[in-house]
Amino acid sequence: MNFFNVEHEIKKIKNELHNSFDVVDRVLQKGNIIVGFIYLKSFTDNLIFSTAIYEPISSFDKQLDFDNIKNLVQANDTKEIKKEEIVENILKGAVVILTNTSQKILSVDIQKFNARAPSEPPTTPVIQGPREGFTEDIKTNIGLLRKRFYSPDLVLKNLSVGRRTKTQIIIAYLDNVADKKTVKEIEKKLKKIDIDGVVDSYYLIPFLAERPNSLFKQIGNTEKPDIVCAKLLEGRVAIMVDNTPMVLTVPFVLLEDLQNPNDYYTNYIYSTLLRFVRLIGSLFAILGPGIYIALQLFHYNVLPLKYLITIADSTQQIPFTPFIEILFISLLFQILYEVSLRLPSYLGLATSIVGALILGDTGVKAGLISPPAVIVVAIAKIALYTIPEQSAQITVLQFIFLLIGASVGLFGIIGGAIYFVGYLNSIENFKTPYLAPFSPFILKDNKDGIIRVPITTMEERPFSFSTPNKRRIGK
Amino acid sequence: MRDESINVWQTSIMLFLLMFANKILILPSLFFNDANVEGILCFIILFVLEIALITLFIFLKRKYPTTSFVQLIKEKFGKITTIIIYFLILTYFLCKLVLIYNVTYMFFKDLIYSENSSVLFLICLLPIINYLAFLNLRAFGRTCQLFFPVILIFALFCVVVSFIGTNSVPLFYQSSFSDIILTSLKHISSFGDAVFLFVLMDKIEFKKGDGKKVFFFFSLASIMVVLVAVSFYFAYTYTSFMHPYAIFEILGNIKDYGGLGRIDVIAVIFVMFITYFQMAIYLKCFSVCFEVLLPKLKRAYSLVVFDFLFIIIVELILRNLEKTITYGENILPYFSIVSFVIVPLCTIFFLIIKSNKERK
Repeated sequence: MNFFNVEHEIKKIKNELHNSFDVVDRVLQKGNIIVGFIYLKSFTDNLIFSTAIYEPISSFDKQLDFDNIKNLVQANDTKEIKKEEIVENILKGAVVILTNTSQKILSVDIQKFNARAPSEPPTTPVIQGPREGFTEDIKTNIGLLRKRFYSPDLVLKNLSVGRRTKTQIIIAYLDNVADKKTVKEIEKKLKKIDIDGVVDSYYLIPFLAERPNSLFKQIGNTEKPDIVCAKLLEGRVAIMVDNTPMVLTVPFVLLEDLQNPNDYYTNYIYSTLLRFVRLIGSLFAILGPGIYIALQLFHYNVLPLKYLITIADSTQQIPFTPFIEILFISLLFQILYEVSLRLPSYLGLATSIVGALILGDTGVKAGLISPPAVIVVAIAKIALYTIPEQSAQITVLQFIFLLIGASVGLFGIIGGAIYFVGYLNSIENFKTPYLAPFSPFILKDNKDGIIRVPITTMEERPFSFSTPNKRRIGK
Repeated sequence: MRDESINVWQTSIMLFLLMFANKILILPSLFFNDANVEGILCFIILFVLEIALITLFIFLKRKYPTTSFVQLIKEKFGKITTIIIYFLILTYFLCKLVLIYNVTYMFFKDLIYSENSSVLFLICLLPIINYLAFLNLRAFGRTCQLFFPVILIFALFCVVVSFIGTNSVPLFYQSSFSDIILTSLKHISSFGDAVFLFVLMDKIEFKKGDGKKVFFFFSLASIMVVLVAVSFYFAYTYTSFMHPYAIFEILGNIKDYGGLGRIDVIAVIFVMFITYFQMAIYLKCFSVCFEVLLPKLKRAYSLVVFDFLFIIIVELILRNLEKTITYGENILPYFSIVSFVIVPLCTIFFLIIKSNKERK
């Protein structure tokens, strides 16, 4: 009895795949059974196909049927699929096997893609601690995570998003640690996404965030499996996207970016000190140039006399207003930054020399910019990278406060600070206050806030978001 | 509804923030002008009245934890009386906002914005207080909470350092008891801030024993205010009335202390923070009262109405410190009837009637 006209079916599938050059089909006839193979040669392991699939079937000397074929295939990832799943499986790197004697269709996953090996991510280098980073291959990433949890509690849920890309997305969480409602909400939000393609995990952020148009980062992201592991242990949920090393984590609070993986691999007193430095650095980066300009333009009378004389001495020959001067230096830095990011590394040194020495030094000597302005902007721009994860936000805020300082002075800067804090306080992603544990103040969560206590005293998981199991140490 | 609730910590912080502003700016000087060093007693008397108001609130809140003040007075005094009372409360908040704005504006104008017009000051202030009042109360409360440590550090710094400038002891017993009482009544409008608790009553999450927290923050703030006044009188003695901005003047007196340079700037920054929060809290209350009077209108309308009225009053009517002081001493005390007479009387009547009913 013939269930399939194999050749006709293969032709249909090839048509569906627009007869792309890399679609390969093989037809094998043994007695009255016809076996058809179809796969993408660019995306599958041809050697495995020959040795583990085609060869055992073709050299089988007894009567072939579907069950025999299934047993003969020497690959791990074998499954029976429906007719409408054929194309999807081929596109995911599987060999689809059809026979004319059975309605059943076999899919053997022999996807082969040369993914890079896990290496230290450039976004989060560490002095001590693990140096592994996620890669663009989701299977490798899952492995990196599984390696850290030899426990059945790690749950991985599979989804695919994107009408055309059908990108694989994995929701990872710890059973009995992550809040089920949060997991459901994430799943619901992801399933609702109707977009043609997901190129990177960043594409998902606007769909997950409470305020998609906001300047502020509302979803955590990292390239390091140890960070994801720590966040899962806190009760958060990770979202892994195929083709990107960036893993998203939710719920996210601003404090997370103040914390650094190094903090947990060094002495707690030292890491507390570093957190204070990061906080002061980022505050200076945001407010420093704005306050400097406000003092110069509006409140020079509150400056101590000696400082006022120094400023007056160095700025009296400058042809520009203080605001234009600061804006010019800030823009110059931003241009140099953009150029150095995009230039090949061997040209980076040349850019630094041109930027720092020629433009900066000559600018001061030519009397176009004043040394105090250069110092203020330079410190602010360096301080910006005390929290590299927030550098984009801090850069924008720096310009906003520069503008406020230049137009309305110190009173405006304080007003601006209150406005932004008010705004951040109104954000609640997945029912988690964005500025927790500072506002609302949660004493227990402040054990790992600006001050970090030893891990032995961090007995509970964070209280800023819901988790069914609060204890980390002891029962 | 859940977003419109604040916990007792946030409420206490709001109360703390309301205790400053003009109490540490022009009030010590004005008290000295009328009652000499006994001005300190005026502070104490008025703080005692404030304590009475807070006690009444806590008593009411314990009995009716989820009921709003509107519901309570509507139940006993009817709809029209409620509208009248809320209209008076709304006017009271508007008047207080005008007073605080004028005092702080004059302060900043004299010290750090000498070459700028009031428009610049309004451009800074109005959008921020409007935004804070428009925010849900929970986010607003959290914002107060986040800035509280900064404000507290500034306040403590001002109080502690101000004592370094004291070098003499002024003579006491210069004023009679009637002088003290009259001075207190004259400046009563700068007090009565606790009335905001009644307006936001149903939005405050209150548990058993939370009253202590409210009293703690109130006591902390009032002690700090009194200490500022004491150090001011001790620093300037008989010329205190000539120095209008107490907190700034006492720090200015010792501005080169410890090589810190211009430490009086700390007082300016402290007043800036306080001004924003104090005005935003009052505006929030104004907005809540407006919603009671015109429930069908959205919150944004209340803010538009406020901005319109506010700009007219401050730009056309009150333009200098003298007019502001006259306004604060002669007009505003009548509006203080709201905080020290109407609201407490309504509460007492309500509690008495209710307890009589319960007894029957």
